[in-house]
Amino acid sequence: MANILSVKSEDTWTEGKRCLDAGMVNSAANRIYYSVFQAVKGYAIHRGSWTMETTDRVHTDALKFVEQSGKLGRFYRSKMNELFSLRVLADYYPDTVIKKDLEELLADADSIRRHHISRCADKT
Amino acid sequence: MTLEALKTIVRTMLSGAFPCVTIQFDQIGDNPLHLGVSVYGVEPNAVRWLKDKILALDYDLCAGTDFALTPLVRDKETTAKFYPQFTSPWQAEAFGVSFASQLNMAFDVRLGWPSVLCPEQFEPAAWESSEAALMARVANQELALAA
Repeated sequence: MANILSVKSEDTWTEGKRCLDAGMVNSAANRIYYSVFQAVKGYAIHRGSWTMETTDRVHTDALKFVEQSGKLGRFYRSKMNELFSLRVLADYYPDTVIKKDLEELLADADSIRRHHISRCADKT
Repeated sequence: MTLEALKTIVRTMLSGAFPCVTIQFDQIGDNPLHLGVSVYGVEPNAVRWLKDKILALDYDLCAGTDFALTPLVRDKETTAKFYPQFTSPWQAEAFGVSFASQLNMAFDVRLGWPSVLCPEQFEPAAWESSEAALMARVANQELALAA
């Protein structure tokens, strides 16, 4: 079975890139983070760890899932955590996310996202 | 490891390398064990290093546990613009409560206290004297590495 949230993740990623291109950096940080999060959530559902309704402590647990990516685990946890920090700043604090900070994370964020989509395919 | 122990380790490690910045802990999200490590008034060329240090501490101390540390690092310009009360560490101490909670935002639980870490201005806090001695030595090593 494919990652049930892969299409949603792709759509959210596209939204994030559009926001970034339009200079809406806070919105972009939110959308880019959630695009990755949706891919991880789909993976967590796929492996039976979460249901679609799971909401408790999901952002902490998402870090735990990405950390279980073999040799990439430490790197992925670090990058997703950094992306989460931008999303927290964007949504809950007065400061504005620095565009360069988000741009520098894009490639790694996409890698995490694709990895957790492909992990579902690997198990079928 | 307890939450207080985690905060003590983080505070000691960071204040060893950056003795004159304001550090405080915010709860982010619904997990009380997931701490936002807010650092204010950082020199621009040290922001990347500090973020990486917090991310490394997150992995080294929290991987495989229910704890997590997320960096929320602000340079001097951002601090002056949005958090003027944290431009000097002693002001954070006087402030006494989380800025986030004052704004009535989601992070309304203050889990820590601002670290006042300018040795030329203040006596060491009680927690620095005993159990943190080892960690202080480690922090000094980190400082040497940072230099």
